[in-house]
Amino acid sequence: MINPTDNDLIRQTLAGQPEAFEGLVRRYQGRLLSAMVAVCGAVQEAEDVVQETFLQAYCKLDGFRSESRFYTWLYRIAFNLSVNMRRRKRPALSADHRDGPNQVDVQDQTPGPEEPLNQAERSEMVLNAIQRLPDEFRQVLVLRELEGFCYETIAEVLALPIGTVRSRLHRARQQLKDELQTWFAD
Amino acid sequence: MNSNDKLNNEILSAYFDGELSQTEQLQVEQALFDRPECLRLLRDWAILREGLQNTSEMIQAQVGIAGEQQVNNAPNASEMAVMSRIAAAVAAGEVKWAKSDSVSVGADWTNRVPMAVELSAVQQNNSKVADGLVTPNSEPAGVNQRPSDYRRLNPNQRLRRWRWQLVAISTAAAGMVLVVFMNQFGNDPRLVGTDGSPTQPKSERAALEIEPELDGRPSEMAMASPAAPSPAGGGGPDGGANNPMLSDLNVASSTTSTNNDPMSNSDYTTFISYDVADPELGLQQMQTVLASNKMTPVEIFEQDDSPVVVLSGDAKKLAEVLEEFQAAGDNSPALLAKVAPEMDSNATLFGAQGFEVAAGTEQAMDVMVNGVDQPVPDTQRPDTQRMVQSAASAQDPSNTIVSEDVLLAQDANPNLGVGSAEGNAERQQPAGGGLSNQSIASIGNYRQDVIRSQANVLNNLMAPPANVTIEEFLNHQPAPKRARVPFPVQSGTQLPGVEVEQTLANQGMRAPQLPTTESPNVNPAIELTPAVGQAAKVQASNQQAGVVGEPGPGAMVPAPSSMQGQANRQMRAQPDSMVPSAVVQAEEGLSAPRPTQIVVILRPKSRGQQTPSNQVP
Repeated sequence: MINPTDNDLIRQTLAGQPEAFEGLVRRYQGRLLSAMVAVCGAVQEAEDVVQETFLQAYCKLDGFRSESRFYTWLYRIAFNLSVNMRRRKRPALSADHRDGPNQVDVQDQTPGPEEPLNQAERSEMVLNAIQRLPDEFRQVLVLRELEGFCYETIAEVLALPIGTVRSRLHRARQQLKDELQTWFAD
Repeated sequence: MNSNDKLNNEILSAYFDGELSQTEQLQVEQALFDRPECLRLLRDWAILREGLQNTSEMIQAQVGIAGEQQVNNAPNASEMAVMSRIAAAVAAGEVKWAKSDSVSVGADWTNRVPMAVELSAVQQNNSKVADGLVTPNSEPAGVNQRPSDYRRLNPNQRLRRWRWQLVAISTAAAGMVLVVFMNQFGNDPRLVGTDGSPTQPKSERAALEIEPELDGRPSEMAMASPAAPSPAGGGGPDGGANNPMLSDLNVASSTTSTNNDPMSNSDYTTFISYDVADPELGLQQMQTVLASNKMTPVEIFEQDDSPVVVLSGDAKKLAEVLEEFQAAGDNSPALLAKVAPEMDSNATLFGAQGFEVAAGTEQAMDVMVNGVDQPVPDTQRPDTQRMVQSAASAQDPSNTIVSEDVLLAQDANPNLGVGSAEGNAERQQPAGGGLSNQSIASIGNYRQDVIRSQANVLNNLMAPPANVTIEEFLNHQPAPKRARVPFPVQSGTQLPGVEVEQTLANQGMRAPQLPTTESPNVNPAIELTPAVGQAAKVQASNQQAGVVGEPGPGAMVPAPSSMQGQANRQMRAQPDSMVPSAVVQAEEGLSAPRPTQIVVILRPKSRGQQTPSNQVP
């Protein structure tokens, strides 16, 4: 089977072929990791979340109902794990980091107003700004803008009404715009 | 920014994402001309989106997961780490559904050949995910590009959030419908074919089950042992209080219902007719006897100058009362005249019970059934044998059953066919042309009682010896429970689920007795079993030999080889005696005999007297 579907791979995995699950990992790991990097702000933390996500997905694979799509189920696990992980780490943060970008390993390389911004620098700024958003805004923004999910899929992943998704997304954009006010000043 | 602006901006955001319906999109586009600040907002969001897309690309480059690099390549470190953790979890038993040896601990995932999962599949999934998504590096939908999909916020699609709840509710509703269906059909053996499927739709079944209730009382055809427990069990929506057909099907309803009709409270009615010289004196004598025994008649009325006393109660007590009444009559020969049973098989049936049934009993029944207050020729008489036959057919599922009302309708109009609507209409007409309404009502009551009585007689048709006492007879109960037989039924139709053998066994014989010569009005569809003809011949031979009214042991109809059950065992153990049901019940550990009902008809002697040759010696 050259191009098996998710359900095919799930069935094969449940039938005792763990290598089939490797196909699922291979299919979704990259996208999930990039999303988790945007959500968590750190590559290492994102990798931990992704590994834990696939592990939990494998352990609970028999409980997966094909009524929903596998990747929405996977993303829901990942987002829940990321939220839990951030909650666990937050008390350990020093007071110096509470007001700043506390989860991003990327240094703040925002240049002064006299220097033009290259693309990498702008991406770093955006990533830092994303990290300053509340969790609920960051999730919908990442899912929409980075993952390209439609409202319905976002609502399915986050278990939210579509209206809430729309509202949160609008507010996330407004807040992100406020965070990146320097862009628009230019 | 007020709430209205916020709401509008939310709609604008959805418009930017292409998540509006076509109507909403047109409204937003109309508003864009009036509010230039909205265009600026859209442009800012487009800049944000571009920055976010660049950030996404940067992240992907940072983590090294460029899509094309993974195609058919060896697993990367992250992938191997995931699978190694899975293997460890499986080995540790954390994965309940997986066998512990399905993934070996420490498996060298790096040397394995990865599954050929093309990234096109990923891209297909992504395309599904991004359905309606503005492609990267594209202009905002609200500026230069129309959204590709406007369905997202359709109200119909919002219902999809509740689809699982709807599915659950639908499943529950279907289950309830199934339960109701099973209650309606599942407990009725007539309606379940050999393959378990219902054989009749409910409408047809309902049409079959609607029987005429004459004077509000169920007919005998429908009332077969209402107090007897039914193995079918179950309950119906009708409650079964007054519906005779449900008395069989719905035990709980019938046993718990409150039926104020004393007649229907008894499941065993016996007719005894005495020819008395003076009916009024006879009635006084009966009342005196009842008063002395502290009994109260259920009902006393007069039918065609014949007092009728309806008694109900313990069989033994009733037997004592009747014996006392008979003894009083013996002491006063002018009051009570006993005559021999009629010289026909039907009277023989009565006589076979050990009673001396007055001559003219059947004629009195004719009067009660047809309302004809004078003797009628045999050819015009309501064919009591046919009623017996119909009642007997109700006990033998192998016979073709014709409903009672159809037969009665045929009595009124012999030209009517079985089951015709015309016949049913004719049935509604009172048969007793010259009788008062009260008499007609009484006739309605006793028309059923006659059939019920004869059915009971047939039910007990075991050809007992002459030494059966009245107490033994009254204690002898009919078969406690039989599977009801629907009518009409095609001749020869095998009714699935009807326990034929048990029915026969409970009856103690093959089939009810019927004469070999039938009335012209008899429905030709009614089939006679060989045992019926045999019994009739035996009776005829007995009569020819001078054995009147009490056929000897030779009249015992041999039980079929398939006969099983209680009565069959008793028959084999004591073939020459009728075992009273009280004894049977005592042996079987059953409850006390049920109330017995007796209808005593005190007929004027002048009407019922027959020739002396018919008198009992």
